[in-house]
Amino acid sequence: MASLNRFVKAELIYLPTLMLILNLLGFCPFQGFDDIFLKRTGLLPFIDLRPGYPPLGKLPYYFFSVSLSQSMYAFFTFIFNACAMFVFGIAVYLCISKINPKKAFILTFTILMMPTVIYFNLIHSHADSLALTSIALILYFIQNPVLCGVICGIGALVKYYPAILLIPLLIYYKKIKEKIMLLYCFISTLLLLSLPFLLSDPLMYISSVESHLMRGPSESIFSIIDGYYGHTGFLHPTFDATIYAWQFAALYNPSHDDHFRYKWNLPFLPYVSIMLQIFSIVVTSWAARKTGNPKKSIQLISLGLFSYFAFSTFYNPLVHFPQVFFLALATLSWSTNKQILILATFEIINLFHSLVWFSPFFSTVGVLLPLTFTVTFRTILYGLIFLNFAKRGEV
Amino acid sequence: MRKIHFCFLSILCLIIILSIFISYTLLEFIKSDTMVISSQFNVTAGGIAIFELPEVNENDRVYFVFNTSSRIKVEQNSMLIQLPYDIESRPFEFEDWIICQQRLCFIVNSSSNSAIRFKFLDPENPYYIKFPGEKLNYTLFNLNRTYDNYLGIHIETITTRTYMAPALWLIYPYHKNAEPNFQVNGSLRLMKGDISYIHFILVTGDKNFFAYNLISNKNKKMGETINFYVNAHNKTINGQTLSEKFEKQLSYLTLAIGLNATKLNNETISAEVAIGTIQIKNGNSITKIIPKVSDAYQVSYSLYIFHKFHATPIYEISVLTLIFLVIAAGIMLARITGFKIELRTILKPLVTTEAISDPRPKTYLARLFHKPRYDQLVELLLQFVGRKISVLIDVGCGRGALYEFLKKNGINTEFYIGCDIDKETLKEAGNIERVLCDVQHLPFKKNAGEVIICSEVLEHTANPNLGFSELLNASQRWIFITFPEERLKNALGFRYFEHISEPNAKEFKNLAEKKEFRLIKINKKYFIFPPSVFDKLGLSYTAFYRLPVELFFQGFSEIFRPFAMMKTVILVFLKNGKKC
Repeated sequence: MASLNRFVKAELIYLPTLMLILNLLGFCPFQGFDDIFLKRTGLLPFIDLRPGYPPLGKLPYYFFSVSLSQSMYAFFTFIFNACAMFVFGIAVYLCISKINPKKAFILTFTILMMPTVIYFNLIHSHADSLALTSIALILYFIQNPVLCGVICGIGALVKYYPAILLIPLLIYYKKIKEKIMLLYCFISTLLLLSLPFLLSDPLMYISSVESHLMRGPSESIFSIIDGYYGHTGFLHPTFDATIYAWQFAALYNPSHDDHFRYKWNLPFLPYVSIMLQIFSIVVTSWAARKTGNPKKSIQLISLGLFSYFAFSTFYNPLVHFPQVFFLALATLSWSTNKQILILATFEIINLFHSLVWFSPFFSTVGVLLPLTFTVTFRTILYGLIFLNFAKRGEV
Repeated sequence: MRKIHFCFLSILCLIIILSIFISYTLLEFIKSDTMVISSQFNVTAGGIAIFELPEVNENDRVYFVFNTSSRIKVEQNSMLIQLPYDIESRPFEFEDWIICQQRLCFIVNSSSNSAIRFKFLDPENPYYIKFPGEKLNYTLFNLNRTYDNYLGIHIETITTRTYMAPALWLIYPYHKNAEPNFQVNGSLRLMKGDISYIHFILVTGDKNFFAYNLISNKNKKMGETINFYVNAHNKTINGQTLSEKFEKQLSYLTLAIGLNATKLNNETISAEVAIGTIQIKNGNSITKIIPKVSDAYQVSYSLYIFHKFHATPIYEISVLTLIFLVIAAGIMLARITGFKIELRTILKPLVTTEAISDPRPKTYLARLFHKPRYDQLVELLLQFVGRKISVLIDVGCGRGALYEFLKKNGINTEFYIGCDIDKETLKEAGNIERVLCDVQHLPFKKNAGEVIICSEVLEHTANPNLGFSELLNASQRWIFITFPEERLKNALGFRYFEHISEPNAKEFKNLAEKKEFRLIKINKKYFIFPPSVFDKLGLSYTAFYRLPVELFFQGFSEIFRPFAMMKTVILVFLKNGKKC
């Protein structure tokens, strides 16, 4: 507890300082395009329109956007995001300290100091830090299926990806009654928290998930192979989001240009990606089940989650910041220097990746070559990480 | 156990039946939730087309998709809410080229039928027109008399000081893959006006731009024909190699006309350009963009009516019942599998306290929970009794913290008696008269003390009313009692094991009235959750944390009073006939 105290103290100094620096540098949260749209039209999310994110992650920003002016929105979102990041820091610290208390402080701060983590958590109007907090808590309370089911349900309503944890947990729990309780708690939490939307327009609510799954690839090795190397085209529906996903599909044909309704040039690629994702999660979860050691299990499940993101057809340096947390957990048995080196390399590639889009230099050269280089380099890094795990016999 | 199994299976069956019913209702709706009508009508440029909307329900979504390059204005109709095209008011979005150009979207906000009036502003022409900056006025016309097969465009605007030069883009969608022999050739003429540039732009793949400057400020000559020729095979435009990589996937062919923006504000600038036939050769196919403007033309359209789901009372009841059954099934499942709801057992250590009600230690429990109570007692004593007390009996004195508090605040007692049931703590009670006794059996004569204080004691007794009666007997004038009201906390299952009863202020009042006492003051202090949580989380009571934690805790406790897990009640009684 004393070291948690120290960590909280450090976080309470770090976060306000960071906010001050970001403010001085001119960074401040901005309203999402869909929130602006909702504000203008007076439509209600999940009832009149399907936003891209689930309710618990979306509604705080929606309320700020609808009820506050632009400047007040920026202020309150900044505070809200900082609070979420503070909680996220504590959850990550607790999770890492459960396995290796000595490394918890330095590793958590390494994660919290990464530019992509800072930018995405503090500036963007996404509640990723809360979703990741739920994952960290699930891993922390891994031996308690009831608690894991409830947190997993809440996490899935913040962002969809914490729901992935259900697969490793179902494999990890040996007793059938543990599996049943996990599933029951997950489903009932989802149902209870979704009740207002299920009562008013269940189709719009379900449709939000469906439209999310219809999204195409972006900036991953799969998208490069398919010949689509951006997050471009028709990105997210807004005025088209007032209809259900299948109605939208009747109106708008998929194309090779649009991220939102993408038509694959090589249709087998998404299946390859899904197969790899499922395979990696199942193998690591099975290994976690076999070890019988909760600490080792957390590491293996984290490796599975890391692989899930690595084999995804979608990649975005900002959206994929949870990977660093999973990587930090999965590599806890490595030396600290090696761990920090790999996390730093990962971050450098991400920064370079972001520069490809935002740097004036690349806008003259063209984005294809540097982007292909970045994606290939990251894929090689993935390969090296997996090779290292295989070599160490950790999987 | 058999009964539970039976009940569980029955509930499970009901859940399945209800789920099937709900799914069936939704699937039946989905089957007929879309209606598409495709047809065509004749229009003239600047004319109005009236369209009778078929029967629609309230809140249905209506989409018109027109196959025309003309701008369309909708005359507002009270039953329709037109949704904006440009979601962020961004003047130009490459991503929305196709979508925005031809699509009109409405939400129906009334069930009455009405006609929609569409005004077609432009004549039909082969290009879609977009503005990368501010919108300009333009007219399209045929130039057959002067130049054979040329399309004329007159652009006019009033200058404003924006960073971007006013420009107009003529866009021709061409979503095909470029074959090795892909070629484009065409011509245009600058007729008059303040032209800054004309670019030919080929948009390929992921919106890569291959722009070639056909006319610039330096080389512009009025009336001269400019021919251009694109050869994708050797990646050249008019023989010049393109610097960027040419992609196979084509999207748009564009002519960008930029006006001269060097003039001052509020001056009118205009230009006229003639565009000839553009021919695209791709593999075996040859596409000709005929530069023709038609004032009367035919518009084909598709009307999509998307119905929105309306929850019926039966549906709502089914969902609510389903949720209720799921909860019931969970409780039974927990009993069958032997699982307890362990959330409580995890949280319970956070809210439990040690049975020490001392405000002195530097903990959040002491400073945020116990100290306010002592402060209030001191305040009330000063308000009602004054600074001098002859005999004060502190029932449940513990380690004598109250004595120190009173002394520190300038309240002097001639005779301070401290009573407690615990011998060990009483030993530490300091320089006071100490009596080892139980509040339910006080060893004092009637009217023994001028002031009796009994703080956070009665909830530890089996019969708080009996203890209070003893206090009434022993008091000559004043009684100050405090006790916690923690019904919400107890209901949530976080009862402190040492709190064996729940004292009731109303019962105390009735009891006091029977024994010639009256209640003259009742104070309540709210705690949203036990502040001991902060101690349990490991936060030290230091200057660094104190202020934010206290602000957070007290702010929340005040704002969310109705949801406070616990309250401290302070009651002041005075004997009838005595004055304050």
